[in-house]
Amino acid sequence: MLMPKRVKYRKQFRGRMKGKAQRGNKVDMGEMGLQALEPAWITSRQIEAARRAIVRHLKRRGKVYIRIFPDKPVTQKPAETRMGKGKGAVDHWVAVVKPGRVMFEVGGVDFEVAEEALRLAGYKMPIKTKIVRRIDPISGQEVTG
Amino acid sequence: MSDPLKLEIQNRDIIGKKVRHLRREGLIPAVVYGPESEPITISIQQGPLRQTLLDAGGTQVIELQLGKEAIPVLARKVQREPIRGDILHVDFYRVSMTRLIAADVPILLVNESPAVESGMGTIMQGMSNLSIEALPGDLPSHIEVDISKLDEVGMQITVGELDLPKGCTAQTDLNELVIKIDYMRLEEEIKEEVEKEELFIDGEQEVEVIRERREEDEED
Repeated sequence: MLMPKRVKYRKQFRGRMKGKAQRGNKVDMGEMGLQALEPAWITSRQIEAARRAIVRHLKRRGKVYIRIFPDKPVTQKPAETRMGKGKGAVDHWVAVVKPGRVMFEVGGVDFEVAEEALRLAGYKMPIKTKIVRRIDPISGQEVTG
Repeated sequence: MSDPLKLEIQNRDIIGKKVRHLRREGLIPAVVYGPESEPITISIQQGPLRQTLLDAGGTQVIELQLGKEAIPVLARKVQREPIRGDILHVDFYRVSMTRLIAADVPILLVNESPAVESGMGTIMQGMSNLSIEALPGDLPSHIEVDISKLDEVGMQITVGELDLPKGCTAQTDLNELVIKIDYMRLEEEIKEEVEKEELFIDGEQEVEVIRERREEDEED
């Protein structure tokens, strides 16, 4: 599963997820993408599940791009532990996703196949998503080529 | 050359965060700038602007009508709302019709490659836009790349091989890859890859903490 190789600090504060994704909100590398419509922490397991769903449906064609990376550690205290005694140990890693973020992209396959693969990946996400196509940055027209 | 697209604009005094009031009234804030003039802030009706941008893209000259003055421009940057895609702001670049300018022109693939149709290979597109230098009136709306000639895996088209319209020169390296037919991976290769990935997933991974290592070094 995805996780950082090296980090500067072992544990992090939770932070907030205000606003919309100001970066990574367009389909950039593929032809179609899965866009988040809600803010959430997406765990590395969810990313992996979605990636597998896409790859399985695409079989051996096309290319999959994962546009998010779980670089935020989430800690968990052991079960039946009294409060206090410091912050728990790192349990898993998450990617902070804000509305508008394009999380996965697919390229090099027919639109119908890509759409179905992303639809299946959407079921692995804990949030509402929508499927978006690549648009020309100036005209706003969907790129078909 | 066909007549340039025309767009009515108004001068705008409201700047900064207050432009959201304009957007509520259906006016989109924009700016016009260029090498030989001071930047001017303008606003444009949303409906005609959307249609004009659809028709012109980033490569066709638009004539902005400010009272009796006509300003030839190219749309340079369009800011959009991340989810709904509504236009928030537009940058227009004032052009001189007699001076060469550079613009990114979209590449459009036409026809089908026999190698891809037969299932031997897959298309790998190196670039989706090409930077072209030309007079504003000569800029093409797109560049067509015929891929029907690519009938074998490994065949490619570079920038130098493209058929550019008259008066246009590519600004990128002529050896740069535009499109290539890559080989289709075999089932066994994919299986091996998946197995490797699964091993990687099952293995416990340690995350190295940079600061702690430094402290250890200091102790030594």
